[in-house]
Amino acid sequence: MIWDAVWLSLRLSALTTLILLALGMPLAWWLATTRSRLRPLVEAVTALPLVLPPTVLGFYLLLLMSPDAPLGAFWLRATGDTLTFNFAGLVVASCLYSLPFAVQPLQTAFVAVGPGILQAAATLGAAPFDAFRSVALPMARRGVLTAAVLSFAHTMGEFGVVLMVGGNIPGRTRVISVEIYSAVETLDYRTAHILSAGLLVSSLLVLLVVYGWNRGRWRV
Amino acid sequence: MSEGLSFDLALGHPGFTLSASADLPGQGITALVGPSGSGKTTLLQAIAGLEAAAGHVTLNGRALHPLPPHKRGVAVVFQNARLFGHMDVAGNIGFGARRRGTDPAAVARIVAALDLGPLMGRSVSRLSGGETRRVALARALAASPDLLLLDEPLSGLDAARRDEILPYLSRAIRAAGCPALFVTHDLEESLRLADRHLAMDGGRITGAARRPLALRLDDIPDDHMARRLGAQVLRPSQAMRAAERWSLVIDPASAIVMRAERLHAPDALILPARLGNAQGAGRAVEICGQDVVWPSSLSDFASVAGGLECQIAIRRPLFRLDGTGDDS
Repeated sequence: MIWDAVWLSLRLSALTTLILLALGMPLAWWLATTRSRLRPLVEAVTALPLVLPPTVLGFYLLLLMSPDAPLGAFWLRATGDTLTFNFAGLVVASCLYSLPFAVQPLQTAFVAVGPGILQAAATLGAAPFDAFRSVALPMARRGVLTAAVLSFAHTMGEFGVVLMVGGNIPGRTRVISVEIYSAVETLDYRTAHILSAGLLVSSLLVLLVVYGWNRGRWRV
Repeated sequence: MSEGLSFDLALGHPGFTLSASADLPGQGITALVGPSGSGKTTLLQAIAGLEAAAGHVTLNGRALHPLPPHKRGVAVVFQNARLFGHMDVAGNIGFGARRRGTDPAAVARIVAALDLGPLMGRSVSRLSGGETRRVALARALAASPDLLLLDEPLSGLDAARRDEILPYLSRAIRAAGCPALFVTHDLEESLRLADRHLAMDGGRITGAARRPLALRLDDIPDDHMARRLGAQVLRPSQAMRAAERWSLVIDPASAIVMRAERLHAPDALILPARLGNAQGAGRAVEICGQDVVWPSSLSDFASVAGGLECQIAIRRPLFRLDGTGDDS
């Protein structure tokens, strides 16, 4: 049972991290380089999960993904399965909930690269995507790693949104944090201790690595 | 003009308007000189396509405007080098070379000309200021540019470092065989590098001259630049009192004189001359004596009178007033 929850959390975190890097990178790049008046609005929306109670986000996602709503209905028609109380729903919710943890480090890193270095690349014959791939991305690698690590770690520990959207279905939506909650409810403190200590130590290690990178003590 | 660089560009920023046009030959180094804020860097950016501007830029008959920067074949050496910090020296130099298909042998020649061989594997964060500038130049040249733009590439370096790099700079740019437009407000740099000069002020080209620099001595505040050259600005009264041997590096209307023993100008033609009557209104120095015919490769001046009391050192370019050497 424990390992089901651990495996589910690892799968959810890995998939969420990959999706967030793929979606967050262009978004962060746009935020770092645009002069659009929409930027503050997009930044605010992106940062919303940082301040919003997970239950609020989970509640609206539950409504949005229910089979009665357009998104949920579309998913049901396309896959034959509901988006809510399902692993796919957890992925969607996790991506939204962890979005600022991916976008903000990326945006900061891209801002630090600056337009001047890309201009230099352009004058040496690099087209915009080439300059992004060969100059901006490698120079922002610490930001990319920070975004990946934080997204993964944050998804590993999420609880409220997962519970609201996915419920507590063993092997399907019961991630580590929900497993801990269930264990405590049934007074199974041993299981709760094992999982909690595991999360505590792994989270501490992850943060240590991130701060180490950011201080430049370890070369990447 | 079908050959060479031709531009007519206009753009506006709050408090600043650029409206500059010129036709430049298809080879050689042109210095773009002018006071700070005159629009030199903005003009360079507009030519490179890094700044949106209206107008046209053609290079050897090919329209560069409004192509995006990566399709213009215009390499830029920026004021702050802008090396790629995640690459070593070789990676930086190879960046443009790979994209523009430069022959590796040509890249090797550039590396040799700039004496960068021992640095190729070094991280750019571990380069000295002078090395950084040489790598930035090599990176631009290795991209086989059709036009090279240099925006004060030696700024921030002390005089010793500049002395160290200038010969590399001159040799490598000329070997590249492409025209170069070189922004500077440093007198020595323009003296030692440029074949011709564009003067700029208030966003406009205000003068052009082949070899002679359109520069008034009034532009040299407190003799600062002259001192940098190991020279002093000679005023009329001083000229009359000058009893020592001097070397003259200026046109007949105004003068910078230099003690002969301090003159270190390997590319200068040094001829005997004598400072003469400087009392005449509007003429700072008049040189009397027999006529000297200058080699045309060194100067546009047909003749200058020479005497015995001092030496005349003609470095490239001569100073001259108000773009009177304009060959356009």
